[in-house]
Amino acid sequence: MQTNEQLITAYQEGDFEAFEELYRRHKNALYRYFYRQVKNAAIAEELHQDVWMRIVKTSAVFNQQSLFTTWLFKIAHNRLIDYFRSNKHNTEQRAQEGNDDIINNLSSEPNQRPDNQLNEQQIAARVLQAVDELPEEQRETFLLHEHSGLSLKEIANITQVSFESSKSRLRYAVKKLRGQLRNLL
Amino acid sequence: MTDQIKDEKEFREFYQDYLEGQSDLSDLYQQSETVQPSEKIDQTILNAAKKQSNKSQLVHFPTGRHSRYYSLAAGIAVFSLVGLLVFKTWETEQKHLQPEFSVESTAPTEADYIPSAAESRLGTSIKTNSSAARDDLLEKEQAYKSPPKEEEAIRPAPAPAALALEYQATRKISPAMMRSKATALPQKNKKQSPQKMMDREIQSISAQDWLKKIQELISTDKRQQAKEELALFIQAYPDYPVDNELIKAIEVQEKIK
Repeated sequence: MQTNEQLITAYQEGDFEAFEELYRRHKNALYRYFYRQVKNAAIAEELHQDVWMRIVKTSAVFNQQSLFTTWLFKIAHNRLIDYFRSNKHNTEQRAQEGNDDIINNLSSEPNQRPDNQLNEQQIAARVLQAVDELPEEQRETFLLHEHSGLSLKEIANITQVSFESSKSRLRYAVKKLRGQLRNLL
Repeated sequence: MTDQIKDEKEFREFYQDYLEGQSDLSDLYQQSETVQPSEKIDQTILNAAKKQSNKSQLVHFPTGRHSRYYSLAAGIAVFSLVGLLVFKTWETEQKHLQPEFSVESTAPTEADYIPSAAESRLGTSIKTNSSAARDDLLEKEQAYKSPPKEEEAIRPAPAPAALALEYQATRKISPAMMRSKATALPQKNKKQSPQKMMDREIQSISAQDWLKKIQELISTDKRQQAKEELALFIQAYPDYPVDNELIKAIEVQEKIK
């Protein structure tokens, strides 16, 4: 199996199938990273498309020494920061709408029901709700850890914080999630 | 308190397992998160990538380790080109600023006051005995005396002293007549020459008067004295045009002796 770096190099040389494979591998991770933070499908798709378009246009300048995943999520992180800056007022409203969608899909509030009576969908809703409730920075670190498969050092590089900060953010995020989902774990 | 410590210990273990990928938290989250981009978006992105890939097949820019060498070569080429352009511009500017010097130049130089040097430069013989040569000498004398014109302010530095030495060598003037202090004068004159020169300056004897005096010495057959005076004169006025007749007269006298 070819590595991500080999695939992007092949694409640089005009191999479209290499890009298809690369896209197939990372599309869900990137989309979920956006969706979980903007909590709106349309915006997540817009951001997702922007990042891939940038990858397509700038693939020729990809540095062979770095990891493709680091590059991909660094572009994604920067795009998300831009989005939050330019849509500060609308973000919270859309986030609430997104949460409403999830809650409406459930027959009742998951927290009010005994855990042994929850179905799969309800368990998923509880887990995602717990993730959504994390502070922004902790959530991003957790999502990067889950979706990119990168080390804490690389996550620190992407989010442009120190290794210690990154480590601390993930620790707090996991602690909170464990506390919220204690009965499910 | 004990519960808190126990809880903290449990969490440490849980967190360690999570970092090692052995925690249920990751599995639970991955199973819960099922959203994915629409097929329409997938198609749009893949189409754009295909389009770009076709472009890059047409124009393939070298990548990888060789790209550094290509960049370096391109950099050197650009640098050389810019350097050449700057040099050419500078050269053109200089040509506009400064008139080109040639043997036809009207501005007299030191070499022009030295007949043999001028002769060698021009590649023609100078008729020292003719009246034309005299006129020429007078003209140059005038040029020497008159202050330089504004246009001539940017003329090159006088011809190097080497030309004067060359001239003296070709004229076979004795060492006493050489300009160099090391070879200039006999021992007895060596001490007094600076003083003499100073005196002459104090007395404000003009070059012309000095030459007249030398002429007188020649006419009174005081060859040695005339020779010494001429040497001093050349030393004092290295640029002043000396009549060839004068030098010849000394040489003739020397030969007769």
